[in-house]
Amino acid sequence: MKRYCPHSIQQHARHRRGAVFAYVMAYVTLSMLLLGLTGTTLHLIMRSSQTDQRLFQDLSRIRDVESAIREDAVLADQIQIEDNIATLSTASRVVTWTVSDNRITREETTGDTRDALMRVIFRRATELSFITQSDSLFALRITPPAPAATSERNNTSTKTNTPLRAVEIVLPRPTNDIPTNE
Amino acid sequence: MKNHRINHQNSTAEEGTTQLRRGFLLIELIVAMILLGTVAAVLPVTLNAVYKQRQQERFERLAQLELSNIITRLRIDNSDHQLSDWFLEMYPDASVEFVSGQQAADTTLAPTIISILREQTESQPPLQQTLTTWIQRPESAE
Repeated sequence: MKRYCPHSIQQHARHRRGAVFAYVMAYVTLSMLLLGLTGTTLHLIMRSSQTDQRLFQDLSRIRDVESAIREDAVLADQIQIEDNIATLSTASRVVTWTVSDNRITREETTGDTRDALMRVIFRRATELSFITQSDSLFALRITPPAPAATSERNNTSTKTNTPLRAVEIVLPRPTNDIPTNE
Repeated sequence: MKNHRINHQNSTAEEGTTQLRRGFLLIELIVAMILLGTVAAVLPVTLNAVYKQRQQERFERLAQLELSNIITRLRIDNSDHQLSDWFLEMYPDASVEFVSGQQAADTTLAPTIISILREQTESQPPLQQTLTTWIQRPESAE
């Protein structure tokens, strides 16, 4: 004979329904929490990684330019700066550094022969310029573009988040040169 | 009578199961909360450590560039220099130190140790980039 108790089953079913509802609520809440946390974290990591990648590319290009132009400036007997062109000459060769928009070009010539050509292209909107600091010093100024959305926030912060701003590579120039870009 | 006993037994068993289920739900929640709490506690610390390391690398690279600039200026006018404006704009809390070494007997050059320091939080030592250059000091040239 089949035994059953309608009252007990109804009670049990009510209990189970409540338990299922609590389970679902807990599951949904925890899932939302976990998904929200994961999403935010991944977004932050990816954005930070992109910013850092851009920054280190800038730094890498600056290092390439720095090492080459320092060597040229130390070896040069005569340096002339006119607008965006720096001509560093020795007795045997002439090295011309030309800045134009976001690119800088190094051209090394001996007589009429071009011996070497190097071109470094920075990010778009990067500003490059030669500035004369004194009779015996000049500098190459590199100003990477400010990040659009966070520029104001970054300007106020000093210690925690430091964006890459203008960088100057200071170079010596022979004292007999007359600065032309003051 | 017999039916009643069976019903009573069933009812007791169901209550036990419900209590067990309730308790199990609580344990599940506690375990989930502990796991979430652990992740929430560890993740920001790890990310912050990575972020700080990248900041340090960036500082080191720019400090090396600035040290080269200082040495260039030092060789021109032979006096101690302050940090450039562009560097101070990025790191206002940075400072530069010059330490003159003893001139060697067989040379007119004297070593100068230049360090760029940047304060960190109170629990950490300051970041430091140091470069030694050999320059002809006025007193050694005389």
